[in-house]
Amino acid sequence: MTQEITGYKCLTEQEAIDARKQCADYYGLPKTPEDETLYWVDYNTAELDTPIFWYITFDDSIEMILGTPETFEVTFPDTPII
Amino acid sequence: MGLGLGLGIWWPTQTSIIPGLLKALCARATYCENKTCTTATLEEIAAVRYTAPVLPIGLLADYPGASAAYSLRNLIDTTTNVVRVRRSSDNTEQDFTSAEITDGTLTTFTGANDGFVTTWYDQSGNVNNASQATASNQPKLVSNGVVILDNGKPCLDYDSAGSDNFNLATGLTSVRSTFSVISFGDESGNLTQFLYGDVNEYDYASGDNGLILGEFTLDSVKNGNNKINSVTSDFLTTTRTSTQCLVSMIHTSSNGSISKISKDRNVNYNRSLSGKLQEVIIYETDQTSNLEGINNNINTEYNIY
Repeated sequence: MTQEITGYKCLTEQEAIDARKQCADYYGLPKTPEDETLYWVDYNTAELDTPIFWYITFDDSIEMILGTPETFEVTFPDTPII
Repeated sequence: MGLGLGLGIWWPTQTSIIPGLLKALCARATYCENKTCTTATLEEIAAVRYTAPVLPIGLLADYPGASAAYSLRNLIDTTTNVVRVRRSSDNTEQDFTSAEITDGTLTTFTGANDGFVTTWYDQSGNVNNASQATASNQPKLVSNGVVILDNGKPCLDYDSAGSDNFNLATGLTSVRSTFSVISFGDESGNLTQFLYGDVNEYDYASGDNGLILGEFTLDSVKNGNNKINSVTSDFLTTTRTSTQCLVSMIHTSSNGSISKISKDRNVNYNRSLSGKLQEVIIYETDQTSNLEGINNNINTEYNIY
């Protein structure tokens, strides 16, 4: 099954890692080395799609960092088998 | 002067001989308490006040051996911090005891903002803490400066976005008995409300009209001694409830795997728990003989049924 996602689509994993770091940097994370929180948002992998891509789901708190989101489809498993 | 005891044994009288004898023969002696040994004179030993060993108190003392145990109350009185919280105002984090959650310390820390749990500390003694490094995936404990409650007690609020979850420091692969206090946020939808998750397995796959999904849930989970509020229930047909309940499971022959509380492996959309969670206790042993006692302890605390 596919699900429509609003967010930020990345063509490489490095692009997703960079976007994740941009958000973490914006919010000053991690605040101290002892803190558990490293990231503001995390990226996901659309591993059932061809070609595979990576994406960050939209949240109001990251629009000013990553810009206007787009809408795209992601394939999810119908069953637990992935 | 001595007295005979009628057995042909000469025995000194206390008044005449013993004090001097004891002083001479036992001028110093050794006594031990709690494995700490001290050598001293008898007078010194006599002066020592005996202190009875302090035994731990709580559910985990009464029913020891849990592999992991998370709660917002003390499950054993030796517990210190139960959670680490990130406040939304500036992302500062701080540890809190169970008392500090309710005595105003936590809300003083958060101010009129939100507080999210970054770490749910393991009280079992195994240091298998449950943590979440991504801010947007952390369950909430304080909303706008108010501790979130379920049936009058603090709870973790997993939002409906489907991504809130914790990762256990060490995945458990031999789970035999589980106990959780939970209110599900979503009562329908296959695979959307995993009670427990794992990075590789889906032993607790959730169903649309049932707590678990017959097609995919591990047989020993499906066919185990499963109870809601201490009443035996068929989890395949028992719908998830949005009211607080105690879910206890004793698996049969084989073992469940849990490394996430709670999410289906690394499936990224809408397969995390949503709802309110207050307590999770996991044993890698069969707790059938303790089932009633553990359920009673939990219900006494939360007054669920």
